[in-house]
Amino acid sequence: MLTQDPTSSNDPRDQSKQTASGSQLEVMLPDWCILSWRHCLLCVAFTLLFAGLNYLPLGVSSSWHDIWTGNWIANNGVYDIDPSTPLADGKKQEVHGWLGRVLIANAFGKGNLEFLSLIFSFSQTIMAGIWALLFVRLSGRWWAGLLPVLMVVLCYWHLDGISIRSLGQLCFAALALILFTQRSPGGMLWKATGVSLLMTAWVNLDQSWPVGILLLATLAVGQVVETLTTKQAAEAQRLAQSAALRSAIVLLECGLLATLVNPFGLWIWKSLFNWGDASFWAMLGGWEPLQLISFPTLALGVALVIWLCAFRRVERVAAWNWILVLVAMLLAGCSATSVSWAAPMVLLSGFWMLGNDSSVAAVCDNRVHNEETRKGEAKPLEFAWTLMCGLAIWVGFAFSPSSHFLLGGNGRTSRQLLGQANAVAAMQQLQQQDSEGLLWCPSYWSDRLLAIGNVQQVFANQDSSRLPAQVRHDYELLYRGQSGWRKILNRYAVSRLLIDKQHQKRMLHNLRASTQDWIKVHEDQRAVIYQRKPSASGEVS
Amino acid sequence: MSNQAQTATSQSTALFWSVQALICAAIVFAGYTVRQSVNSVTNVPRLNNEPRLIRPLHNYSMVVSDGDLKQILDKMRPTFPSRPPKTNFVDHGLRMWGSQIEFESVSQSRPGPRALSGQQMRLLLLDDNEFVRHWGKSTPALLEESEGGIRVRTQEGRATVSHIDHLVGTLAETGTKLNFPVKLRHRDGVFRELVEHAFDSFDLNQKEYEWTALAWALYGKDASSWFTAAGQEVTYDRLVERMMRQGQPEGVCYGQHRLYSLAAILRVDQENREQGAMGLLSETGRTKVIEYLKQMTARLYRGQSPEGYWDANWPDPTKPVSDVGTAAISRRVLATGHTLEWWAIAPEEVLPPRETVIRAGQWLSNAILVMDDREIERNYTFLTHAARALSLWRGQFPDEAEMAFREKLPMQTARNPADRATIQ
Repeated sequence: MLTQDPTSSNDPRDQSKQTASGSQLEVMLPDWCILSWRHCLLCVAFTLLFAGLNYLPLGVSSSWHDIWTGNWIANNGVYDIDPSTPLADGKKQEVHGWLGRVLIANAFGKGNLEFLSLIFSFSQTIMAGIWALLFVRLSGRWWAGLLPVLMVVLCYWHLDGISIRSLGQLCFAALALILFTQRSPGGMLWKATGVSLLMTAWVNLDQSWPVGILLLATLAVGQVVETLTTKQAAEAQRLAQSAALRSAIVLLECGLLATLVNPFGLWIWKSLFNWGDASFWAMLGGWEPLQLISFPTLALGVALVIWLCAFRRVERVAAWNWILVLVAMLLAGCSATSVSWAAPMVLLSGFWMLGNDSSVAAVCDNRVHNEETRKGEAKPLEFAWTLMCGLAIWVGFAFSPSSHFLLGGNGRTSRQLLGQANAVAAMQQLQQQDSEGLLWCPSYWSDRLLAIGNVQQVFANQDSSRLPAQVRHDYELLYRGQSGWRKILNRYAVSRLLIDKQHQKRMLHNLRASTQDWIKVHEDQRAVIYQRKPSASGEVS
Repeated sequence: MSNQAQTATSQSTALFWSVQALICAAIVFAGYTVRQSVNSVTNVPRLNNEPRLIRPLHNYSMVVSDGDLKQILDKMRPTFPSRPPKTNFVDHGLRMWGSQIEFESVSQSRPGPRALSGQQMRLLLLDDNEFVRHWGKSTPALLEESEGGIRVRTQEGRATVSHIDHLVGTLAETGTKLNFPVKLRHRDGVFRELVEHAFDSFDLNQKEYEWTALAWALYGKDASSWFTAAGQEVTYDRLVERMMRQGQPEGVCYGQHRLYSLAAILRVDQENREQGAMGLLSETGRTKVIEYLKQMTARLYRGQSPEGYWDANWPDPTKPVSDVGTAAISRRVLATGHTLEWWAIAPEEVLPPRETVIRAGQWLSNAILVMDDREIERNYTFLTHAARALSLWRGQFPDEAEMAFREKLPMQTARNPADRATIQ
């Protein structure tokens, strides 16, 4: 807001402004707009995160699976048999996150790859931003805002491009924000409405919604434990705890009820009880224990260190604090991919303990910097860091690949967007061929082939939990080119092969040595296509 | 706090917790019920105690004469010169002769060890005491206790069967009831446990599936589906799709067992429909199977040799034979015998011209008649299919034909084998 020759004021700061600027045009903004170097550091970190994520190629990410299924659902309705993998025919198909898939497919249809990349960067940055806001507000410490950026970077390898999981993580952050933001006494109604709406969205966007239920249940159980363990407390305290317990239970029930608002109704809960290898738990990551030396372990380690530091500072830890950490450790211990849920849980618990009313209030009102400012002399460049923040955001955006939407210029080439991991030329070649018959290709290429319509049916896609164990075993054997590969290809009546030259050297060697059944129809630097030879009787041999 | 306020608070608290208790109880009950219904899938199809019998449909005397058939059956008696008899041979011998056959005396034309009766063969396979009597205690038992039932040791040497679920298929075809007693080394059981294990360990994409499919068609109570241990629903339509998926001659015995099982399923489907029951296959599935079998018949018709036989490359004789390690006569007997066997039970609409069958039958009977005992023993398993096929083309199972020969027909004078043309 700009104003000329501001009216006189009794505030010494206003007087100093007048003195400094005289009759010149001057910025007149509220105090909270006076940002400090800490804000600027956060801005730079988030801008770099956005730009960095925006530069990453989509490669062989799970986005392609979501695009394909989203398109299918949009055109044919929710399915219970996956038509792209005939070898999984007859297995129960549990299609979670139908809305998320349709949204991602529409985004791809409307804006293509660059648009998907932009959405991915935005969703991750916003998610990190929500966590940062929450952590800073809970702990009253500015540096807490940098941790979500670190977590996203360390857990990126399990995110792998825009997918319904990204949307689920956004929902998780939003749920934490609803539950842990300080609100006025009338906030219970707001929280219950927020939780209900959010869980309704989450259950339709992604299959990770039980993580939200887990968080709500942890808080409720924590309150139960808290109430039971403070029997000796004063009546007023007990009543207060009882009110908190009731709130936690009501929120949990709102969340549970909201999950029933989906096209499958109660069925979505049934899938939780399916112990088979296509169960919901398998889709969450299954049994994939955390490795000692890995980026996810590092992320969890950082979160635990912070939690332990906070633990040493407080006299008494609330029950939900340690229950939440236990739940998080259990999640991460079972599945490395769950670290992206577990690490924020641990940090949430830690920063809650770390914060105290005065520091939290100070940071919420942006008082720290302003008090510092008041201590010294009035500075004519008090908005300098605010301007620097603006500059950082602008530069970050301008240098990001998505800036061409606004600033013009050329977008990235498809090779840059897809990265080196994709067999772009071979996939184009497949598009020119007859799409009938079963194609064997590495599962990380299958979904893109299906999404861009090059093939109709593949041996296996990235959702391997849907395949019977025998098919998964045979897929692995073919991938490694082990003995018996020819018989397996015959057993499954595979008509075409797309071989990854980089990772399937043995299989390629086998095929080059075998000229009786398979003929090479395409080869480039990344991949080779083989086709089954037709016999004299017309049938493929 | 006043008493009135305290009463109101305690009433409100009681109401809240009562509602919560009800909700918890409802959730626990629903969870328990849902867990039961979600995970209680049928891992075994619904089965009849007694298997169906697929009888032959034709009686063409031009395929094999009475005299030749008598001689062939005589050659194929389950005498098993090498002792202990290979389990694979006993398994095939039982399938050919059935469980009711009795050989009262040593064959006059083929002196040697006395042939095992059908009951003896079945006991050798299902009673561990009998198995130990032949093989000794040091040999691991043929039948083993296993998760999901009783496992038959397979492809582990002479004392074991040669194909997955072949024994179950054999016993199904020979009319063994599911409550037939079975003796393991440490306990007694019933044959149903073998069948249940076969289904429990079944996977649609396993290497050999033909006999499991056959057992399901013969024992299956109705067309209702079931789930494999991998959670895949098995229907007859899905099963036949799987059987037709592979190219030919992929599969056991140059892919011929796939055709036999398809023909068997088609027959049971047809008989069910004729009796007013629900067919095993959908209309689309049935049409697909018929079309597929017609295609295979067309290829066999085109690829038949001038002499009447087929070889390992039966789907496309222009291609070289892949199974060069096996003697030519063995391959040809195998391919021709199996072809005639599935044609013998197949509906009329998928059969070739009668001449094709006759030429094949005559070549096959000539080929078997000139074989000496050593050749018979070496090719016994293939030959059981061939001899059974010839008998089926005369409208009878081998044991029925044998009994008919014993009771009614005088033995015809056979032509001297030396007079026959050399069989290639």
